[in-house]
Amino acid sequence: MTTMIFHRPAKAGHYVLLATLCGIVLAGCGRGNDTSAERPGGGTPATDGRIAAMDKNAYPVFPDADSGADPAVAAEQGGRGFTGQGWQTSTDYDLIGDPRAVKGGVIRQGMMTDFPATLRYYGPNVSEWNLALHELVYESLLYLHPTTLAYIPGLATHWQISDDRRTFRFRLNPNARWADGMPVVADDVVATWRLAVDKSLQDPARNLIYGNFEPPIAESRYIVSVRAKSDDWQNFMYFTVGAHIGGLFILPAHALKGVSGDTYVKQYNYRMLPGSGPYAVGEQDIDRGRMIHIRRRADHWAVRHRRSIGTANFDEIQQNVVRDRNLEFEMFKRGDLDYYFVQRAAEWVQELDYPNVSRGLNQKRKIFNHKPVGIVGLAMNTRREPFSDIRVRRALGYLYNRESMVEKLMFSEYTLVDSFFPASRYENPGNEKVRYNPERALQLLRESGWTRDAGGRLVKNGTPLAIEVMYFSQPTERYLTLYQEDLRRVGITLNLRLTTFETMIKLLDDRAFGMASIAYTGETFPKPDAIWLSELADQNNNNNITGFKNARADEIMRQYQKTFDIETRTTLLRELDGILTAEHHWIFDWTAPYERVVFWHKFGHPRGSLTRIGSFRDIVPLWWLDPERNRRLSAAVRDESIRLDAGSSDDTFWLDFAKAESEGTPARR
Amino acid sequence: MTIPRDQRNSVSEIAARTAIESHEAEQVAAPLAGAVAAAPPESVFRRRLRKFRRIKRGYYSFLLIATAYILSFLLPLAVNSTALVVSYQGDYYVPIWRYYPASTFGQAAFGEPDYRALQAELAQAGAGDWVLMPPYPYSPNESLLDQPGYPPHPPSRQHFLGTDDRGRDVLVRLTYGFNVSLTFALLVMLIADGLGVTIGSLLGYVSGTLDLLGQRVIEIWSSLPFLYTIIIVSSIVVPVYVPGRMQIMQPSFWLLVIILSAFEWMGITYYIRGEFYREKAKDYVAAAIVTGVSEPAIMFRHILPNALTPVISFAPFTIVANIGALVALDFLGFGLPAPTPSWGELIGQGMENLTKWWLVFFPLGALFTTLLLVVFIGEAVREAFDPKEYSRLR
Repeated sequence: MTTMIFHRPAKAGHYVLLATLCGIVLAGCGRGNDTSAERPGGGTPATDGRIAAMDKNAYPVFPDADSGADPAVAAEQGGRGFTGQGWQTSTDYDLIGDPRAVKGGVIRQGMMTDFPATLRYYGPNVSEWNLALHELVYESLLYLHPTTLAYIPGLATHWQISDDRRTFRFRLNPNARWADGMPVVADDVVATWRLAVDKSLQDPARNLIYGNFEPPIAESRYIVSVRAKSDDWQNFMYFTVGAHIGGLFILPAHALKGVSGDTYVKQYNYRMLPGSGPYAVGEQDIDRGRMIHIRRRADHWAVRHRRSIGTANFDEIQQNVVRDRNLEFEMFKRGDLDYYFVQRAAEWVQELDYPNVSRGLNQKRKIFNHKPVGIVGLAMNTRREPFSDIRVRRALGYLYNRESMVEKLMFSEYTLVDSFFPASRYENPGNEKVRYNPERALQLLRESGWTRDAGGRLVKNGTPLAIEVMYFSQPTERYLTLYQEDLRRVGITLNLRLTTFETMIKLLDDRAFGMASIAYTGETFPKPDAIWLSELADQNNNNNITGFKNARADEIMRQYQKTFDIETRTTLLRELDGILTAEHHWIFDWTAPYERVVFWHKFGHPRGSLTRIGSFRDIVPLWWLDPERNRRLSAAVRDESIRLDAGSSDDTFWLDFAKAESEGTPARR
Repeated sequence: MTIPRDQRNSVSEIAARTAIESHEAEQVAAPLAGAVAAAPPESVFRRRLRKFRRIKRGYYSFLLIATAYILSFLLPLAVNSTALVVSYQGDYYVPIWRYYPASTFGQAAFGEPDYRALQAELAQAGAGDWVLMPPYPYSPNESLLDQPGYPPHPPSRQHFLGTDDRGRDVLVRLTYGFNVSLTFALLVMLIADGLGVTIGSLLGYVSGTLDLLGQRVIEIWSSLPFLYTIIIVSSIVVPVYVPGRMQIMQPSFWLLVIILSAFEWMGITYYIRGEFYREKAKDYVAAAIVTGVSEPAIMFRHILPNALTPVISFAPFTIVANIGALVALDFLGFGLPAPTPSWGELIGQGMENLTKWWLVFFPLGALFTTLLLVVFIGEAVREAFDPKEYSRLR
């Protein structure tokens, strides 16, 4: 994979939020299948001897009903006796974790970057890592079920959407508690919204999304309502769901009292407000520059809720700063880290053949699922010559020998991308599959008026065909030099320009580039109008970097934002995909429809290993330390004659699941 | 050496004598001691050179590096995938000199012919046509993806040092990289020293306010972070790569030479300035002034030759530093733009592929050997040019 995951910086006019590709789905869930199995943090896990029921109905969605409600609040105000009539909720969803999971133990992982600049999630300098942390420590009003993408209850038990689809009401769970014992109340939602729209938070993207709402109103202790300023189906999602899409995580109002955006940004970099989720990070848990301990709380209020069953199993998540990938791999092999996320095909194919792998101590797993895939490839600035000519753009596409790169440099590990929504339901199957075809390319170039001079170069009106590609990630260079050679052979000069990430963003925003090797993160719920609207093409500082203009596409995008029905939206996006790809503004790369990990054989995990749309980061909330496997592993480490079951390296559960689903016989998780 | 040769002014006896005293006393002392003064006295420089030759380690290192460097300009004739001469259907072609489209030789490829394939084809056809390829028929930017297995390929009989992460021959890239590195280092040294010596001489000779201000400017300039400047410049300037042109004739190569020179001239100014301060107080300068020699002539013809010792003795170490700087920049990706064959880039690949020993060992080995040899030269030069030996009259 070309690994250039890149988040657009907050710029006027668009919404792309951080971290949607690798978001942990429903990370912030409770623990435990049974309180009797509860052990204080840090203990060694052991089976509790009972067979956990696999049936979802054994696990209530709302245990203890509303026993924690303030008796002063009337039933119709969301208090004790609230019936939920006239409200929506979901009580029929499947389990997310595995009920056989055992609580306890430590998982040690490497942080693949520097020590985080902040633990915050609101404000500047945040990354996917901050989102993942918040999914463990905080909760949102609702969640998206990772398998069905349907809303399920979170801090709120019920919700209402008005007929004009702009006013949303929520009824909070009266049992919900913050880590400091205070109840979660409607004011918390109001305070969180206030923080998110605070200008001094220095978070313009978030300001923009939540500025799209009128101030929320705490109708009672447990009921809160909010009105959106526009009719857009994504409003509801951004207000209710935190995990996975990077929406709103609810913070405690009582701790936020007197904290403006400015003070929040300054004072809460390495201090976390009490959360309502299963984990917490105290100030003593932060060893700056080296590691962070994320510890499971013993008193998570939603531990017995169905959404929490089998999730958040580790007592401690230890995140170590390992600045170098090679070092991280060596640390994993030595046993200092528990798993290693394999990014490079060469590593996967050539380096995972050491004895501990063949003996089954380290397990290789290629986990196929439906995590969203971003747009990866070479974007062309169609405002400039020669890219303004579609024939040149197409010719350049036919000269990009992706097949050979994937086959020769990446061990045929990846699949070629032919869509702006690759491997998703939105992909248009009718898109042209652009493959290496120099004859066709040269013919197109001839048609466009490029002729060959005595030196073998392609020229038009005396000017040779020379283009420049900008890139910021050095590992990409090897594909680009191959492309450069292929182009040189037919008489086109390609200049390679390595810049820093920041420079590249600046040049993209100023439209001061010819071709750029970039990637946008994939989104489960795409927001195409942030990229492709015609009106953005003539403005700087937005995501329409290639200068795309198309009236029909505009129409589709406007309609899409107002369409609440997913099937209709799918049809719309497929049509949009067809229009976008036919313009050849991008030369696509390749992608991996899976995650590759290698781990010490001591963990249990739910079927499918990860959630349906999750990344390797799902390991932390979903896996558990299996006591029996751990024992066998310890024995095998001591005695080299012991071999452990190596297991199948491919986990295709989610592919089979999707197949069964399309045949109308949905499999059970 | 330093006796004023300006014939427009009559050279007074005093002037001549002071000049001799100032620096060359020893030379003159020898004939005075009774030896027959038939041959002209050997100059200090010659004696230093003779001494340098006697220091075997440094001298042979010098010969080795110099020969290798000169030969490296002939690389396109020896290491290249473009044929030297093709005899095809009775006609002779010189592809190394001229471009021929593949169709000239009946190849179905687009653009440039594949001469290695052509060689095999013609040999097989047996029609008397032939292709003369360079002895090592691979180019530095050519990805050899048709090899069995996956790149990087380990060393083999076709590719003595293996191939890199995209199938380019490591030996070819190392040899071309040698030429690039050394040319770069020499050019930067020439430009930086030229600038540094001129400025240092001015500061030392003129002294006073100019010196005071100049020194402050140098201090400020030298506090600029050089790496960031390079990164900033690289984001403004689009590297232009001219295919087919030699690496050292590329515009981006010269750009980097100039940038690096702009940050390297300061060091030598301190020494030259000091030397000038010392020298200008000597009698031969006073004599030159008295005889009416122009100031530039005094500075550059009279004082400078006596002040060059630091430049010469630092030179090898400057080369080491320049090669190191280029390697570091290329390693970070902000040196010469891809696909320039570069040692730093190969070392970077080695770090990405630690298990591929040939990508780690050979580039580091080449760098180590070259730097070691240059340091040997430097040691010898320093010893040969040790001014102590000549500053004693006894």
